[in-house]
Amino acid sequence: MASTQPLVAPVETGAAPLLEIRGLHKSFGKTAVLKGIDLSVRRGELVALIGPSGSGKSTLLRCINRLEEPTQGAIFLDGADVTAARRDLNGMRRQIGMVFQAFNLYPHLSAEANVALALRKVLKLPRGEAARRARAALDQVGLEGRYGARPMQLSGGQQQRVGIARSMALEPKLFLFDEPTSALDPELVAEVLSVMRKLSDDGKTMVVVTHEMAFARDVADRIVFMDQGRIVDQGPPDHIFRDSTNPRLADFLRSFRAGSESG
Amino acid sequence: MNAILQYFFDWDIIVKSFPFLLKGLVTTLIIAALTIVFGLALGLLLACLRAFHIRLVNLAIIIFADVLRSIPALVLLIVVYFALPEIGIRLSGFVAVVLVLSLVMAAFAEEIIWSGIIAVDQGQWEAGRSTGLTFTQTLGSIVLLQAVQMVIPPLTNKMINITKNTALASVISVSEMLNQASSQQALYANPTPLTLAAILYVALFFPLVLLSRRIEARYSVVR
Repeated sequence: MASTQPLVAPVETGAAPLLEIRGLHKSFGKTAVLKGIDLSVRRGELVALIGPSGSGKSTLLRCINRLEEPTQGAIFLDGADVTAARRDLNGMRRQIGMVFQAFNLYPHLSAEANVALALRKVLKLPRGEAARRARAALDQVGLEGRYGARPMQLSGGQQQRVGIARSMALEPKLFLFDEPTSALDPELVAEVLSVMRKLSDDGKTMVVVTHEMAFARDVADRIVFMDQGRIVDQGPPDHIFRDSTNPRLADFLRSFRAGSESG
Repeated sequence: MNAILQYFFDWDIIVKSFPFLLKGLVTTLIIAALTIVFGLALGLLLACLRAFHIRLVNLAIIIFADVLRSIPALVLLIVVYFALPEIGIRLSGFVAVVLVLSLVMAAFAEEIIWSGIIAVDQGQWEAGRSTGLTFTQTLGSIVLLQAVQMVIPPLTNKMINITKNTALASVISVSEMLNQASSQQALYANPTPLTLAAILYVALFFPLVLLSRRIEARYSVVR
């Protein structure tokens, strides 16, 4: 198997990582956004990606399910090369759930239909079965009885929970969260984070780009700090918030604290 | 005053010419309906094709749309009806007008629906694709519906605009309403049938204009 990276928390012997990224580069035109990312994520692990804006966190996330095409490098999900030229992209994508900052719910469909759409079109479930599973997923995120609501009739927190239910229903191997609470009013953040915490407690594997430091500290198994397209430091929360002596991380955390106090 | 009324609005002539104009109205309606159905269907198809971003196909679509949008429908109609027979393609007046108006409608509908497709938020595509839907499924189940909903007001306007052009068919002697009215006018040497035709056009299109206003109000709600 690949050589273990020095900063990765020790892996149970023999367990292959669910996600493995090697030497990932991504450029937009002449702008290099990712400059060689190596990262592996164990099954059941919650990895929080933090870093200043423009550090490449979201781009890294979007390369994993190939919403962005990597310029160079390899990504393996459960041993299968995601970046292989002949990869069945749609089959691969349904194994990777994604939750977006802007929710990206389908405004013309009810909450239930938002969740059921891919169940019917991708998993080819019959209408009734898809509806049943969609409702079960909505129940799990605490939206019992809101099945028929259109996205516009729901609060931001509820919309994001529909977004989570939409990816959950497909039972993906890996969840990607792209700043899931950044578009929410402060009082609505908690309900979304608690759903995410529950997912993690259920043993789901998650990579979360977030600015919620408290969430990262309390829930993440590992925090990865990115800056200028590189992973600068990583480790368990205690390492990041207490032990690390990395100056860029310290800068980031300081500016972050200042920013969140003034905002 | 009375003479004017008599001249433009002779009751006797109205009664006599009314059945002919009604027959013309039916033809007008049929041409309009066929134009809308074929034009919208082709326009929708072309807009969808364009979403696949196949270079040559898109070039062809853009040329088609731009050329047809810049030629006056009357010119196109005359070319199709009077010039095509020279190369052995002989179409009846009815077929010629339905063909020309459908193509013009398709060109505008394609542009309007395409503008809707590119106005749909990129996140909608990403949500669809990230859940494993194919490009075609995402287009069909997610993007297209929102795109069409957005462009219903301009689309309705264009439909009214182009179906009014059914009157052009009178120049190639299709017995639609204007054609009937002019023959009746010639027959009675009195413009009353034309007045009547104008009234019938208003009766036909005014409700559509009102409807489009309501649709516009309904869909202009902030999304």
